[in-house]
Amino acid sequence: MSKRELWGQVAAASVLIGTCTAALAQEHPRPAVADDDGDHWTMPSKNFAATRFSPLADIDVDNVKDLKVDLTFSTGTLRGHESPPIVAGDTMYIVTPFPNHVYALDLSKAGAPLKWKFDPKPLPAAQGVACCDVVNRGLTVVGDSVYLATLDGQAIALEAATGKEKWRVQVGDINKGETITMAPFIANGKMYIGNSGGEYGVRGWIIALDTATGKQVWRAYNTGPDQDVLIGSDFKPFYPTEQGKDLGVSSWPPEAWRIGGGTVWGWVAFDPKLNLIYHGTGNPGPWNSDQRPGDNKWTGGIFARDANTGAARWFYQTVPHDLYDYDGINELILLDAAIGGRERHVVVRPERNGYLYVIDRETGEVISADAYANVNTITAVDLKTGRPTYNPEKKPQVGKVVRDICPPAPGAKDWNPSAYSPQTGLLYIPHLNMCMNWESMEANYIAGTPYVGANTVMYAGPGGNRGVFSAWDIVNRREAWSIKEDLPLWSGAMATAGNLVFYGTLDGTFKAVDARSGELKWSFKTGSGIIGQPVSYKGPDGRQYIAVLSGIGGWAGAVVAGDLDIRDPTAAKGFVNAVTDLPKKSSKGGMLYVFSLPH
Amino acid sequence: MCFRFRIDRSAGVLWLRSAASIGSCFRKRREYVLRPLKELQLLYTPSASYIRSAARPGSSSCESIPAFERFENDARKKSSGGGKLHSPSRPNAEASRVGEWGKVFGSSRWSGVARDAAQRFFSAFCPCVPRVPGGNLQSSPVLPALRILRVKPLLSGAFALAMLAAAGCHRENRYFQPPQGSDVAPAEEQMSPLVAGQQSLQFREQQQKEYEGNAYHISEGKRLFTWYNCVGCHAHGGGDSGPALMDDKWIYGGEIDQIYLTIVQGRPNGMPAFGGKIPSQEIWEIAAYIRTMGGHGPKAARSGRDDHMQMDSEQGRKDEELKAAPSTAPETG
Repeated sequence: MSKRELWGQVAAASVLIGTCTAALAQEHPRPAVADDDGDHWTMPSKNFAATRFSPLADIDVDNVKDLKVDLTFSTGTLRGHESPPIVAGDTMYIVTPFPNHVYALDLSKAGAPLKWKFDPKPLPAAQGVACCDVVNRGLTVVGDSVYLATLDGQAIALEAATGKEKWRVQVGDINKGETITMAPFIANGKMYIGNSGGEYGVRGWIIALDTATGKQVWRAYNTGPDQDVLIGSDFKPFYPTEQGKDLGVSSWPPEAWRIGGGTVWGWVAFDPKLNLIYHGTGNPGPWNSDQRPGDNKWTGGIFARDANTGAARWFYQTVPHDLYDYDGINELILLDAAIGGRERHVVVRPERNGYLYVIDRETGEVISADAYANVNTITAVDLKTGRPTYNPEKKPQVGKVVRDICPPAPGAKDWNPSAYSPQTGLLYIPHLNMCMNWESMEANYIAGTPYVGANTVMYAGPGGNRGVFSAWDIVNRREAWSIKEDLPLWSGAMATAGNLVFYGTLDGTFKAVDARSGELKWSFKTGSGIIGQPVSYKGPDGRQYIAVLSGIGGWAGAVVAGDLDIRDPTAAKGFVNAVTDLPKKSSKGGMLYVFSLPH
Repeated sequence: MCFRFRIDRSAGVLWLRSAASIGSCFRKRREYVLRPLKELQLLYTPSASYIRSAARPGSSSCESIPAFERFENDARKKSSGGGKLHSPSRPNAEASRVGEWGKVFGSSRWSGVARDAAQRFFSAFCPCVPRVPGGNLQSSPVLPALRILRVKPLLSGAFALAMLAAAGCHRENRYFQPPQGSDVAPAEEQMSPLVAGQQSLQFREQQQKEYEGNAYHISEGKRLFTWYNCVGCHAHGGGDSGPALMDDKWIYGGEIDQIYLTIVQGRPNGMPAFGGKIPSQEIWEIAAYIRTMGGHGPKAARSGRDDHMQMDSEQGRKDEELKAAPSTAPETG
């Protein structure tokens, strides 16, 4: 081989490597934060970047067909189980819906016997101000502590080894309509947690508690004066409509911001490099939009806040003057990707309004916003102004029934989180295909009672399938593939390095599909509808396990969990009308299912 | 039509002041304090204008409504003297008054609030009862039973004639003021059908007779069921965060007196206690309406069904089209 040939080959190899790297970088956005503990699943979002991706690959597309039940455990509760089983060390932790019991199961022993059980004894009356079932979206284990929140507004830290209470603080007030359903987000030595109650005229907030003591470090409201919202000199929103003094007051009718919602009941993500946390804000209240002219800042959007002080860095409102209960609380996935020829640090948000937003997480600039579901309420998102263009034909008005509004109040997708696989570059979105009729009515504010002001009736969207499981190509801004699901999808998604994606359905079927094609590879019918979050972990025996909680409920499953009457189409804020068949397809009962390949 | 309003959230009251003569409803300059606001901690938020339809010139007097405490002339004195009626952030009483009074049809930023306040005022607490010949509605200065009669003033004459004409039909006797003793709470409560000793059902039967067969009470109950936010938890009987009410499962009893007590006392798993917040008779009316959800009571007395929300209701769509037709130019498609 001549020198020239050799150099030629080296050059060719370099080009090849370079091309591959470039292609990889282009096709596969990377999680912004590395996963510290790939073997376990210590927080609901799996990691700070919220990918819900397990790097374990023992169970893969080829052998998943052999997956068998390894372990079950009854949670002893009957309402909607939206939480994931959490695994840290040799222990699995489960938090149930109200009454928020916590179980610790010893995975190192045969049959995973109960290590301890903790009963926080929340006030039963809290159930009266929980809009959409008495759910809990998970606990988090950090170090030797377990962190959780109860429906009646308590934040609690337990000793992970014993279940002994370390501290407990009351942060919400049910007499104001406040509950807590979100999973606390633990990062930076703080427990970030917010209130639920957007249907009860609460004023939304997020707080940071010191994880060592439970003492409040900061509190940020999402309506009202800048001082309360923690908007100061660091606040640099990208769009002019988010700029100005005290917009949390002036974008509301007088005093309405005090009961204007903007709750924080969904997901938080954390970028340690920027030291920013990202969280969404819920719908403005009441649902009747005629009662609150204005943009209703800072509801229905995304905040970036300094993780230490809570000071707002930027805000982007996905639904200014929300018309349809399109809460902005869905998951926020932090990725680094080559977009438009340059490296962008982005946050990806499959939004309730049906658009998938890719936003620069340093500045709040919307890079792209594409409809990932059937939407007729918002015709486009103007990338110059950042504002959605509402379809005037679908605008609710008091005294009028507006028909065929798509997506309906739970949105194209509600709280149930999607998963991102860096192997495929696809975001796996469990979502809805539904529409609704809407009638706005006067809402009266009576503290501790609902503040809604709308009659709604929902039904299946075009095609008749009420759920969709989509794989979305983030860089190329298009759907890679999708699966039509008969029933609305209310479970989270989980991706693994075995090129698998897991999710469950309301009739209780737990499914594994090929992450590349969507082909169904395995399924198992559990005892009740699945609305939980699947996880994967390596057990003390070194084997990979898949786990999920079965137990129907949530807004979608309220007809079963709450024994609602299907003769009233407006039951469960109209969701019942879309799922009148559900009582025949599922029944109540919380149960843990753990799966593995045969030993 | 012009009246002025002021909302004082800190005191939880709404002030209304007539600024001109409006038919017979506001004949003099007066100020009203809406008491239930305080009791219910209601806050006012602006809304679409209802005022044109709700405030009807020519409607009759609001003077006899116990829900209002009327202040003539001395309103200013009370307001500046007590200090309770002012927002703490605005210590200057006069400035506060001037600043926060709004006109119903003014162009100020308060107009939305004003419209809303007026709407609530008229639709909920100002019955503007037509003067029915021979009726005793105006005669009593304190009529706890007076509520809305949504009769348009132009029609009130016709209504009166119709009343006279229909006198022989005996469709129903409407007692707006229930007989003495029928708006009180049950003396004792039985949550179990199993009762030690002899059971007295006399009170229950009396209340059933008074409320469950009475279309007026039931329709009022239906309105109040939404007004007091019952609908937010129980939907229109099918349930939501609260249990369904149209089925035959009752945790705390489904008889009218048991429902009454559940509303008054609240229940430990999430039912708020409304006792002291809703007048007793209104609770009986709500309970009567709830009974009809399950098909109890005479059919003839029941309220109309809300089928307009049904997606497959052709009639619902037609109604919408009819409603939409006069206000907008004809549209195709």
